[in-house]
Amino acid sequence: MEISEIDIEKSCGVNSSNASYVDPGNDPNFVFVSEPGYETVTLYDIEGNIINVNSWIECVHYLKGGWVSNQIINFEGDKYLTIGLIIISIVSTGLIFYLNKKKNEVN
Amino acid sequence: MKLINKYLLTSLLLIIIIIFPFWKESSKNIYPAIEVNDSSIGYYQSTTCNISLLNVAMNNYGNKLNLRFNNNNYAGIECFGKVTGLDKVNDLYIISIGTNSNLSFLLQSTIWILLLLLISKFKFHIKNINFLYIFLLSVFFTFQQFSEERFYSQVNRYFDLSLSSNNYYLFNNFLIFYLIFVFFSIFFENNKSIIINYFPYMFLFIGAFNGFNLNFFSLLLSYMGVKALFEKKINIELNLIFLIFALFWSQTRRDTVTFFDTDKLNGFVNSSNNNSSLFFWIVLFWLIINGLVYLYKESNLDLKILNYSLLISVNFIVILGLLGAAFPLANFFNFIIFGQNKRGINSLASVDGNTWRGFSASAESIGEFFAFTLLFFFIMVYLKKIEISKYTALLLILPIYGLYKSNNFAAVLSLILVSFAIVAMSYLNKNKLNKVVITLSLIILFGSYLIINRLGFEYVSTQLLYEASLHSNLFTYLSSEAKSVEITKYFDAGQIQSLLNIENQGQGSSLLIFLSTIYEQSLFNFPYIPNLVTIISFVSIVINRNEMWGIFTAKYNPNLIESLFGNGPYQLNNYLYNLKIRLDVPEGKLNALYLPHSSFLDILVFFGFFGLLMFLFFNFYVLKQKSTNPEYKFLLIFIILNFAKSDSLLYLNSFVLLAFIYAINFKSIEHENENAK
Repeated sequence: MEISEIDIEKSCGVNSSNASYVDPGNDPNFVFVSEPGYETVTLYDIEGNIINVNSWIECVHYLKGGWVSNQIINFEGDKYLTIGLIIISIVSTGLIFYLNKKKNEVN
Repeated sequence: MKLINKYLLTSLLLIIIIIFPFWKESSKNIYPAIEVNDSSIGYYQSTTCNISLLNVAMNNYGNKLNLRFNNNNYAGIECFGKVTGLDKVNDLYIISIGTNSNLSFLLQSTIWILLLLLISKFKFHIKNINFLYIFLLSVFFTFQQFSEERFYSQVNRYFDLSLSSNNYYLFNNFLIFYLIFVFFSIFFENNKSIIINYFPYMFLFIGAFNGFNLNFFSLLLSYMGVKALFEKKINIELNLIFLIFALFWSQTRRDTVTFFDTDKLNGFVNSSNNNSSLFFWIVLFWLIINGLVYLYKESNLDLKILNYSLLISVNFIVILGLLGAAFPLANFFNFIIFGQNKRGINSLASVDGNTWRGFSASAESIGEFFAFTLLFFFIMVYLKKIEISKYTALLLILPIYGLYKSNNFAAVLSLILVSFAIVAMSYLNKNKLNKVVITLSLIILFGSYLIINRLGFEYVSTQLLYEASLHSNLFTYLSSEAKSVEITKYFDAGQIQSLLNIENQGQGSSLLIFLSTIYEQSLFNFPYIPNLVTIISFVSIVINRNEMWGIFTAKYNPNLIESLFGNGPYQLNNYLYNLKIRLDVPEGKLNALYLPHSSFLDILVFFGFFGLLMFLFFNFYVLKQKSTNPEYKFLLIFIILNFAKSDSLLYLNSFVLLAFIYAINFKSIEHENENAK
């Protein structure tokens, strides 16, 4: 799965160790090595399973496998809700100002 | 548009808003709903966030298995109204339904706002809208996310407090509050004089937001509070006293470790014990009491509407409680639509062998409300001569049934006593009434003497301290049984001081030590009057509160400031967790929530000794007011008697019920004074 660098940074943070990602493929003996100083990141899959990753490479690996971080899932549903709420807020506020003004003019 | 059409349209809209989110399948769903049984557990666990609740419910109509629909607030918006899992616990199949807290917040607000619209009869003129109030309140309530971070981080998986432009979680919170307050400002400006007549519906629409530690009506009262403050329609003395208390609360013990998950008090209790949560609840409570005072000043009581509101509300509570007990789907929808702070009971059988709380979180609180409704009806019909139709009389059947099921003996007894008192008052002149009161007092005194004689004075005097000692950390090196034997030995030998201050020095709570000191050293000891501890102990035995007040005595461990001024409004953390004790209760009940079981003790925890004293004096002041409508004072006597043995003050609706009783008393006096002029 292709994923943009911006989204990788958003989920996994900055690649401070300058490690380059290499796909471990189906190697059953492959073990991700913890990166000292890397703050654990929590990722989720579509079924709500949770995994904690301890290195930037491990994080990218899971992202490419379809796992997502808080921020990215957050982007979808909550984003549309925010847009909807902003529109309703602006319309209702505008309407109140308009009706208030109209009422004052009549008075 | 005609009013009836508006009602129909709004009702239709309500139905759509309630049903649609739980009916709509995921747009990418390819999985059909199937029968819930052992073989479909894996199926539902691997097809999460696809199949809608109503689809599952329809496909399981007639399913004989024990099903339960649980709400899963932690799931994302995309899972709202859809199955997020299926688990089997013993013979119970728990179907989890996504109820993302932010979307629930929006859904519940919309439902309740539409209902307020119905009450207001669509009186919706734009006037006196102040966006400063709206903005300030929206910021304030969004701030709760920060102050009670631990509560909210466990509720929503997208919980995020970062102050960034793509933190939609926080944006949504703020915007929903904003819209609610825009509506409130319009609603309140148009209906402030009539709102109070509909307060009984707060027992039906409890208003606890799912996944929030907030109540819809707290928001409404806060709006009134802000308005009162900005428009200087406040009671100066009340606010000064509150300010003094707030200064002392800021000096009480705080920590970031203890956390109260709010349980059945959800929506009206501080979950955390940090400075910012203390600040939030101080301000919230301050706004609420100022809001109530403001509402009182602006209200026009309509006894007929109040009477109907009470009866209709109670009837719906009983019916919905029965439906929720019989049908798992109704139980689920009751929780969401009515904002229950705890799921209704899912069986018609009584809990602990006797009580049935049905729709409500507390059998005691709802029993009191049922009895209050009957008492109010009695006053309206008997004294106020309000005409009622024969159909209205039918509305009494369910409150009586509800009261019977709640098994609130204190409520039944106080209802009978107060009703008799009202009848006696209407027949007898003042002299005769005084004679009756004196005779009754003598009978009570004589009855008490007989009980004490039968049980033994020593037993009655020390039972509270004994019970508290059993629940305390005494003889921690002994087993439960051995500890109990050892404590009994000390009590039998009359060596309470030795037990608490020598053998187990520093182990008992400060309240236990204080009470034992009063008992042993005979502080406050007046000739011919029993010791204070003896009186409390005796009362606790008579009203079956000995164990609960014993637990309270064992747990309550305030320092000097906390004992005098309390821990702050609706702050239970210090009481619940400050002193770690192993209660002398069965293993399975060790982790249960043990509340003080008296609203007086709740006041003691929140507002300290001075707060309790002021509360008692205020009630005394209300009762001493001269009035030609003394029947309303009986409402106060009734509720105070009941509150003394229940935690009802911890629920916003019961808190408002008490405020309403003050309001009806003062309004009646105000009315008399106006007529006299």
